[in-house]
Amino acid sequence: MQKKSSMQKFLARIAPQAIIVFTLTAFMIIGAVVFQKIDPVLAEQSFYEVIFFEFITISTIGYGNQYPQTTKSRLFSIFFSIIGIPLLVVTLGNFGKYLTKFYWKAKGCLSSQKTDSELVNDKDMPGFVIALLYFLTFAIGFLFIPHSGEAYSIDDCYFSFISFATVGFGDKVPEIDTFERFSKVTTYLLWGTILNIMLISYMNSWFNTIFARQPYRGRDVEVLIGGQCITVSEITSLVAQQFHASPHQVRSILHDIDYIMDEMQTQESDENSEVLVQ
Amino acid sequence: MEFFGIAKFFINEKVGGKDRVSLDKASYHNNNGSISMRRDDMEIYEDLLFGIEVAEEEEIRVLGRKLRTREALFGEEVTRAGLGRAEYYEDSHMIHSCDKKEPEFVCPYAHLHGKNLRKKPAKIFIENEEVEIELISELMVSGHEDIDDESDDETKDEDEEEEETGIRKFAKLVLPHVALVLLTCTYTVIGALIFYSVEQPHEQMMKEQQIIFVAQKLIKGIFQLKLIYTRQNEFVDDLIRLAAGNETKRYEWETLAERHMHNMSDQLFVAFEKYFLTSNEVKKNAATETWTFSSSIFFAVTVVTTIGYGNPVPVTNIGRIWCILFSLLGIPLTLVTIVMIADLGKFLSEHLVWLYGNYLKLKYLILSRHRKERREHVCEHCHSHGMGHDMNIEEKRITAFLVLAILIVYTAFGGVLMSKLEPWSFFTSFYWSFITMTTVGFGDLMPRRDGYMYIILLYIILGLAITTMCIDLVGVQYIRKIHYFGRKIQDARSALAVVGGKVVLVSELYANLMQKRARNMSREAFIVENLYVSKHIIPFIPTDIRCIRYIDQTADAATISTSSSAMDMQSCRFCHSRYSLNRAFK
Repeated sequence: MQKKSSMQKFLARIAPQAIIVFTLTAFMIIGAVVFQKIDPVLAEQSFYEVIFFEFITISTIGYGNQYPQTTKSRLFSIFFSIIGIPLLVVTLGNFGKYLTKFYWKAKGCLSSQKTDSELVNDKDMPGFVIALLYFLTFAIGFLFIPHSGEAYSIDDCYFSFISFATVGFGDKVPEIDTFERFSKVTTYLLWGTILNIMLISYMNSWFNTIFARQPYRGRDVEVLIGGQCITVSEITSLVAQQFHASPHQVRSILHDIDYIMDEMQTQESDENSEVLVQ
Repeated sequence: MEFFGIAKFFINEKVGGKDRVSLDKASYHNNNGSISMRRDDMEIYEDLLFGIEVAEEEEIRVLGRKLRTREALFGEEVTRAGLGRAEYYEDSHMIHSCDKKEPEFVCPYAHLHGKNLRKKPAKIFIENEEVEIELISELMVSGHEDIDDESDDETKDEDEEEEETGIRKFAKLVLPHVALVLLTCTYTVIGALIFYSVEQPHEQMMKEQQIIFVAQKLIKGIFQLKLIYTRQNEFVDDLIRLAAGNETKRYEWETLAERHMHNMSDQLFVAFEKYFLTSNEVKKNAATETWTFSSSIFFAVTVVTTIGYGNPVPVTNIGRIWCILFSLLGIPLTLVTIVMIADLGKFLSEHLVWLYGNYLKLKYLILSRHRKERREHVCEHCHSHGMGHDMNIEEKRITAFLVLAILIVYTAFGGVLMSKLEPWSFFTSFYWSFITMTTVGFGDLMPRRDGYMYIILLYIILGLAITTMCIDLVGVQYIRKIHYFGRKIQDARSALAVVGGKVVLVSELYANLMQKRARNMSREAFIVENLYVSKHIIPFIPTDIRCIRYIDQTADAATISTSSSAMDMQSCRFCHSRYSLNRAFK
């Protein structure tokens, strides 16, 4: 019984992620079909090359070796990126978060040191771990990832970093002539982008400590609820949704609770004084 | 400044001639400069108020893990006892001796209000006993939204000279932002200068080498360009020769054309690949520089914003290494700046887009005309403070739709601008602005790099701020909702309450409430109190709550509650005083 419920919980946690990943995959496949229909240049390319082009577009790397050329396909690429970019950002961001959580969990398991607070506070991975992961990734890229630059030189690093950072100049592009290479390169780039998101979030918090950017409005204050960090405005709108009410109404109820408290206190003091009188 | 919080501290007390050090927790409240502190003699996490049964033990355990303060208050054994409220009471006496394993107090807000963590011993009167306390951690939620974290002495200043602090406050708010923008600009310019100093000599060298190479190899040729033009002349000469010879055989012409075409294209490819000559340079018969100062700036901006058109690109190894290092620090820095600009934009637009507010008002007016005239009640007290019926306290948040509209309008504006500056059609320009502002940057279309470049850069950076805002609103917030599919907020204890402008957990709020009530009372009294609360608190629940579902309530149950909505009008919309309701009961 206990096991089943924990299993269910696990499934409930996994399901939204699975839905997002599934949506993304379906979206990309449908997009590839449409692109091949409306763009004669892309239609000549193989299916996985079009998928790769879509990935390069919505990850905002944008090498520029493949690009839409007709008005129709340009219009479609605008539509495609309006939906695709946030979808991919969220997916990769989630993976990054889970990776970080996994790291803290693993650390908690391996050493006696408790890491609950790091888990709860969504603390970023320490910088040296990210750096280590980067080096490992570069090493793998050095050995296995073919690209148009000079192999086994600074080009490997340069290509990888420029791609991960989603700058994507396009002077060095990965070679995806076979399906195997395509899957290799895509996995590599996906992983690299997740890594880059973690790096940026790490550096972001570092910058924020330097500039001490304080949330200047109450609604932007982040709070911890059920292990997740969300802003006050988000939680209010969420609660409001649950209640089928406007955020304003929810706030007024909270004010009411405040009122109850005051009322009860005054009553209490009244009662006390009554007791004293008696 | 008014603030409220929960603090944990060590107390040095003299008990029976012996020093006793104990860990205690207290809520404190600072009002008008005087700090009042209350020891949390007990904390009860009951959801009577919200009509939710005692949660399962597992739930509590999970919560215990999340908020370790609770774990410290009552361990698992106590919660397993289920309904033993008395035991709750017994065990939730907060004074623990030090030998008891005290988990580190984790303040869930600490990472945000890290600035407010103070570590200094202080002497404070707690229930008329002087004790020395050392705050080990403090949870502070500022009283008002706009006063975020100003030290106490500043509030004194505020009383003295309001105007000066107004300026100072403004400066304090603005200065870091300006500094950040300046820093990013300087960083980009310095980076661009380094790119320029590394890449430009290399390019120069390559072109010079080209001259020497050509001079050595060819007798006539001085320049690759010259070579191309000699080829062209040869071609023309041959053509004239053929034409003069009255040659009409198609075959002859074709072979000639083919030979010269091949020659030409070979030369062109060599010129392009090795010596970085562009078609423009060939057309004008003059070499132009790829790496000028302004193109370096353009390049640096495309790097840090991750647009990455791919023209120009660094070709030397030093340039590439510097590119990696530059982007490593530059990208997050720019991101912070752009997010800041976007935040600023959000903030400004919330105040400046009064049009949207008017639109809401209009919508409300049109809608209310169809319905029965419904006016919320405003009590006399509030009325005397100048709050009338027509005051709009509707949430004026910008919707995702509005931001999307702004994005499209801005992109269209870019389309118009670029179709003026570049020989592009409107749609091509529109497409270019979109691809640029989403930082995809294919590089198939590139803006010119002359005097207008800086205007274009400004356009791009502003556009990035808007896109960031848009992606944040449209994408992340909406897609994040998938997380909450089928997920209910299972216990109200972890919900949030705003009490007098302070944000607290409902559980903590309730604990405080209980603590206030049951302080200095016996156990029996507490149970009675608790019963009293459960029975008598309900009538005090505002009328509004009836039209709102309980968290665990099903939809059909909610329909009943709407019947009481007639009572809504009875409560004042500002202070929510229910005097009229009481009057109704009388």
